[in-house]
Amino acid sequence: MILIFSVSYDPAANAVSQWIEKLGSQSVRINHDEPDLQDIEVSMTGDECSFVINGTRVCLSDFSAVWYRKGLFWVPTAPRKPCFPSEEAFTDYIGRKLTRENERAAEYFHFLVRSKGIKTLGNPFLGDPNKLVMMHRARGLGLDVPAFQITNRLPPALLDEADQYITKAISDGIYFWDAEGAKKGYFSYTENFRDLTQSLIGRVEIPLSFVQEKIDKKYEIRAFYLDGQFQSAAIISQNDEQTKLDYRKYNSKSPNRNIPVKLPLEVEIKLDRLFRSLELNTGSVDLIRTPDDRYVFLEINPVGMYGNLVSVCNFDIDRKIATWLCGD
Amino acid sequence: MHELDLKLLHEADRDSLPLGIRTIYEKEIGDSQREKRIYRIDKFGANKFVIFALEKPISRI
Repeated sequence: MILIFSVSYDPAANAVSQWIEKLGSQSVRINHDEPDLQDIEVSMTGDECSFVINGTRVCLSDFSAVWYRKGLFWVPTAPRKPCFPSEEAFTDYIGRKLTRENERAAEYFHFLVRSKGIKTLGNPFLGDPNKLVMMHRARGLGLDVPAFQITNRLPPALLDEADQYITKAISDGIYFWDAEGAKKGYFSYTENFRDLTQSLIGRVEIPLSFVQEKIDKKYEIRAFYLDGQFQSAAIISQNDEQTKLDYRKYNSKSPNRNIPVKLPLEVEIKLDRLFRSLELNTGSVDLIRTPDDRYVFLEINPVGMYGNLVSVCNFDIDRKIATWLCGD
Repeated sequence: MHELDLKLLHEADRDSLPLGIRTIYEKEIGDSQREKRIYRIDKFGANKFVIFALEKPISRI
């Protein structure tokens, strides 16, 4: 039996669940965004953990593999946090405390999974890795990495060469859906540094920001990694003004072409070392192939979407994941 | 998809945003796109134990 942690709108987990069933195994899926839909009873005693889901009990020892796909990698919790009237600071503190209580319980669960030798796909402690540390490590492993700086100052020299830089979030970019309230989605992408700094000429101090060398593209590459194997696609984004800086600014009227490509073995070996150093056995890698044929590493997303690679490039990633999870 | 008008923010609030997230895009979620399709398949037979939910992605950019 396979345990999958994800979220309700994750099509990858849906497809893999169906493949698991096709391969003759079974799966249990826990979506962290369904606290009202899944009344899950949890009990961790000694070296065993059991869940009661919809009246049926399953134990950790029933599972042969766990896939940390998306979400908080733990049972959903009630969204309501206590509010102490007129005690705003203490209310905030208690909110953080409740979060921490749950995190500690989850950490113990992940410890039990590991100590029982259950195979895992994904790393429960690396859902949101530090991009800066990742780039630092990648450079140390010999990968070509753009020069970057974190700064809260705008020296004239930087402004003079603004065209040579881009900026984006230090952490994950903004990605937020407010389906019930404002009925909007909010996003941020990679932006030209000059566009952001034109209105700031004469200013010296800025909030701590990420500034990175702009890399010319022949095309972008998204590579899916599964336990040492890569499946990669070129994303022809550079010919479209909307997508040339960030292909995620999708042009739905004229979508970027995606073409299967093979990374050079030397690049795959270095990326494999990077994944292993991060204790990750799956994830999506973003790279740029430059006009002078360098392969420049941008980042790894451990829980990245790969649906486009499946649908456009005909990669059988869902089946491969299911096979890996169901294998010995 | 269009840029969120940050001029609606107090200048000090706007200035507190790091450059990397100072350009924010917004997209309206249409009713049809918000339609939630959840298929719950609960099979607790001897050889089946599958719980999964399917939901159409809210939207694509």
